[in-house]
Amino acid sequence: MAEHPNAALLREAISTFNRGDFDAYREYFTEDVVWHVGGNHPLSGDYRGRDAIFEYFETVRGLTGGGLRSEPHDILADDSHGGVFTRVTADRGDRHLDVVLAQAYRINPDGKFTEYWALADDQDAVNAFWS
Amino acid sequence: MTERLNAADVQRGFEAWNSGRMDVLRESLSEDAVLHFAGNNAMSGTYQGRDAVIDALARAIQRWSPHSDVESILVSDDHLMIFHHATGEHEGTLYDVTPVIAMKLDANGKVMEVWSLANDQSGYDQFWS
Repeated sequence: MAEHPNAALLREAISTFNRGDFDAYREYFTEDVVWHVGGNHPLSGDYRGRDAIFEYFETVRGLTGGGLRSEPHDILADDSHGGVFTRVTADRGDRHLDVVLAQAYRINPDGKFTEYWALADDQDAVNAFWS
Repeated sequence: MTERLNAADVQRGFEAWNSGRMDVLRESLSEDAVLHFAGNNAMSGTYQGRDAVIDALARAIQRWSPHSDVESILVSDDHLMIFHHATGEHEGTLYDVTPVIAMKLDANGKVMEVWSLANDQSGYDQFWS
């Protein structure tokens, strides 16, 4: 069965993020996208609007030396939703992060992300990494 | 070919959740199932093993009587992701949040890992407080 277009879209978007091409990555989001960062750490919270979200991505890039990687092992999608199971790794000084995230996306008819939320298999490890 | 959970099974699972049919939920889980529950609330954390997962779900149902309506079900060979509206009432306050249940399946189609993700974490924390 052919991959759903929104699954291909998510695959491309994540690859663009991993390359660090934020100008191109911006094109995947609506202006008023909402990005929910779960957990209980200094970066947790709701980021509203594309500018706020990219400030968050810049913070993440700064803290991890641009080395945060997302390697999806399964991408699910329908016409308005996406689901990604991905291994996320990063280093920050002597701290190492290696978790599996389940990520949920809402996708509009133009193929732009409007909302995102996620949960790690080891949220305590995520909290410790960003704290 | 192994038996796979499909959309009809998911609907049956949600009916079981809404009506507190723990036997149906138990059947869908592998023995070493793990549940990751988001947020900073009375349900948050990781539950290891089918008995612990069922105990946690039973506690949730008894204390909060949550009700979930399925919005969308995504399926692949190894995973399911279900967007749903959860509503409930706790200490006189009404809640309406949209969590996602993400599941990893084993070769027999049993659920081996479950994530419950909140989009509105503060609403979710209030709901499960």
